[in-house]
Amino acid sequence: MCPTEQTAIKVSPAAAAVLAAFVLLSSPEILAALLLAALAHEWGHYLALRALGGRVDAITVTALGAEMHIAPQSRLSYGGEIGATLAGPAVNLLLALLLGFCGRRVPFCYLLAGAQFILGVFNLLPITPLDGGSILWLVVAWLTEPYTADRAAADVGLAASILLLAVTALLGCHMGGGGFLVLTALWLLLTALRQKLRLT
Amino acid sequence: MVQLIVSAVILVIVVGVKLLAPDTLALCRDKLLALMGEDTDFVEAFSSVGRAVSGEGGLSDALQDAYTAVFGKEDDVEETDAAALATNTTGKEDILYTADNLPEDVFLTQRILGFAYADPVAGEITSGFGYRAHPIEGKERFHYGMDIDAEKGTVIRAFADGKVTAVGESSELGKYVTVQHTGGYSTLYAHCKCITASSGQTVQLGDPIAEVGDTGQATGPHLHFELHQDTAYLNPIYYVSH
Repeated sequence: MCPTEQTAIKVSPAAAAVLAAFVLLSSPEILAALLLAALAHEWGHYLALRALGGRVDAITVTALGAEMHIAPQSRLSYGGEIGATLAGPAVNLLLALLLGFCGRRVPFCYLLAGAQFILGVFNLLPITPLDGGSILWLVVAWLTEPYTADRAAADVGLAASILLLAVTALLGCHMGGGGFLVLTALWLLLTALRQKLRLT
Repeated sequence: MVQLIVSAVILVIVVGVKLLAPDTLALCRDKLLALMGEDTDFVEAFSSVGRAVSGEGGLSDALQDAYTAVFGKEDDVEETDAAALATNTTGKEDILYTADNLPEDVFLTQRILGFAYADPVAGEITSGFGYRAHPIEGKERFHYGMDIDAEKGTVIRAFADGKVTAVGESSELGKYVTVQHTGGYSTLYAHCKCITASSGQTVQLGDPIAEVGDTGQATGPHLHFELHQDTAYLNPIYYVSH
């Protein structure tokens, strides 16, 4: 993450486009469940960052979530950043368990729990804009240095996204459904490819 | 800043069009939806994952539901299975049924129940949902449930949470009990030796409600299990381990 001078909340056009697509295509309860999960996720990152002493300079809302830019003077250690990165999915998984438990009484909670779980697990994929990719980068950088981490993260991201695309495409062709999964995988592959190309 | 304004305008336009002129968008929406996830039932997919997380019911059942919700229903495969189960065993020409010769109110396709469930009894399925030669009358008749073989006195457990709506006895079904679940679904358990639940009682998934017997028109002790949605008969094969 590169520090910026801006302190405002920015919204990337892709985020608005994704939101618009969701408003257009999805049912209100899905939208609500996903937005709630996204909010809980970012809230987890934000709270962990604050708790670890980081000052959040700017937040950019992107299509995949929110990127927090930490003020340069309060950068965290590798361990701290890993903690803050893990906090987002952790909040999701915790809420998924909690809401899953509530679902026994109020079945609607199952939907919320599912959204939390899916968002949390999706974010742990080791493909760079996602938390899993960030964690991979941080761990490798901690053990070696950022140069190796950049390359390792790009390679693993590319391999993981190719695998994901292959699996979703295969399932999609076999069963004749799940087109949106293939689309998501394709998008992740393009992102991973861009990361890889940037390094070479 | 410009980006933000442009994005906001796009979003406002989409929301505005959706609110003010839903019809104009309907066509384009349908096309997009067909492309994106024809068979995908997102609400069900998410809910199934939620149930899997909560650990209620079988984990594999919940995951199976999620898979079905995302990739569509395995109609073709399952219908062939059901058809195979429905072929008569009397040596006459096998009858495969299609949507055309089905009785009214019978649905072969798998529906997603939306709640946790479990087998009422463990045992071999000796007769499936569909046309069969009636074991006593010998005539071709539609079998509206499935028969699960079990010893007399085996405890029958509630398929899912619900409320006991009827406890009764008839010449055909013998001693039977029905349980109403959420979503308009209900289950029937017939040919019981005795019913241990009482009408109006609230039951949880797996609660004992009756014991296997051979009352009514039965050739031996077994459970006749039916799954209904409102007035429709569903094939219970998708929800019972076999």
